[in-house]
Amino acid sequence: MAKIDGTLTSARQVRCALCNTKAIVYLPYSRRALCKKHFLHSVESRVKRTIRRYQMLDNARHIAVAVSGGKDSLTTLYILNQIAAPAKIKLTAIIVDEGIKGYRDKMIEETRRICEKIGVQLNICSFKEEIGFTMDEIAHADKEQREVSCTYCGVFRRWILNKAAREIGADRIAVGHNLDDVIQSYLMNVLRNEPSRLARFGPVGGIIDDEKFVKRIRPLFTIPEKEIALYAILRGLKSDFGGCPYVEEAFRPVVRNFLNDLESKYPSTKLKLFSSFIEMQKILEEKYKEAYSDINEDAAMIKECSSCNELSSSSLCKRCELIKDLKALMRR
Amino acid sequence: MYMKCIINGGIKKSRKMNFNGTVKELLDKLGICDQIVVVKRNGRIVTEFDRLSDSDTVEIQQVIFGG
Repeated sequence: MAKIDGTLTSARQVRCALCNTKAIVYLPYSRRALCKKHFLHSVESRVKRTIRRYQMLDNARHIAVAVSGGKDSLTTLYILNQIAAPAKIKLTAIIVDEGIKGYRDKMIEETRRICEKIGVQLNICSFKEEIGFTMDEIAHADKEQREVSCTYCGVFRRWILNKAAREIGADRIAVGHNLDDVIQSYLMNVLRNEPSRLARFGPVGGIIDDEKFVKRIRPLFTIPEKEIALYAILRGLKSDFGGCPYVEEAFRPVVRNFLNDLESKYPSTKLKLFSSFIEMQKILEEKYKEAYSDINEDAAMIKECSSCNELSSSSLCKRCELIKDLKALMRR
Repeated sequence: MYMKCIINGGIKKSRKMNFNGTVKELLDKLGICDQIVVVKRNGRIVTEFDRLSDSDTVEIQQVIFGG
């Protein structure tokens, strides 16, 4: 018999630290291996604890879950569905079809299957209808003249989700950001020297209190990405995995690979970085609180976009600015 | 006897190899980061500390891509 951090193992099979059946995962930060049953329970308990700790659902009546058909958003939807029904909170899934042939259309079908299985309504919005362009069209525009694909996708998706959630009367938007997303954003913001952005990236998002902004919550905030993938497989939410064809243009995959290599060589690195982020975020939030309270108090600083009437810090919001540039680019 | 190893990362690749060691050692040998894959031994998910032998069929499924 060998020992892995307190968990007895045979030469062939690692055993669950709680019930001694076959383990399917080893969690380095808690130094224990878990079987399927105890792992699923562990993930769900941590998500529920995060929701309670950050008061994500206090006084919530209707949650719009931003789904993409990926493991993170389907896991968010599945676990929130366990919580919402007994708490009498309405749940609606919203998927944004960016128009990426062979990628998103397949995921919409998978999402539809899961929503039907768990009895949650699915609303579908599209870039073509809301923006005027599909991501395929944007990605084929001159690379030298445009922003990276992820910039358009991120800005447009956020704009559509906020509007769609507000239109159905939702008071929360739940997104599938996981622990890996958090630490990647942390490191990216440090490398780009953008501390004020970090101050805003908490478990409950949104710096401006305004009825036009629907509050964002991140229930998977403390769960590592690989654990979510495992959870999604074990719950039958996901079997085929794949990546967005346009993702390689972004900085994030470089940071992701770097952190994954670090975690592989030095286990628990991710959790330590996450703990560092939690401490730093408190300090930065305090530091930038004054600036944000100025924004909230001074209504003149919150403008309505002259084109779409959504809230914006300038006369033209980022979504409309990007559309304007794209139209000019497409005409050339 | 050879271990059958299926690597599924978008494109499915299959190979037979001589191997005795843990999942983690196999991934290191193949140059695959353990953070982005789930490994099944004879159809069941295993941890990176489980041991593999020549009679096993091992499937390595990439589950983290990004985007």
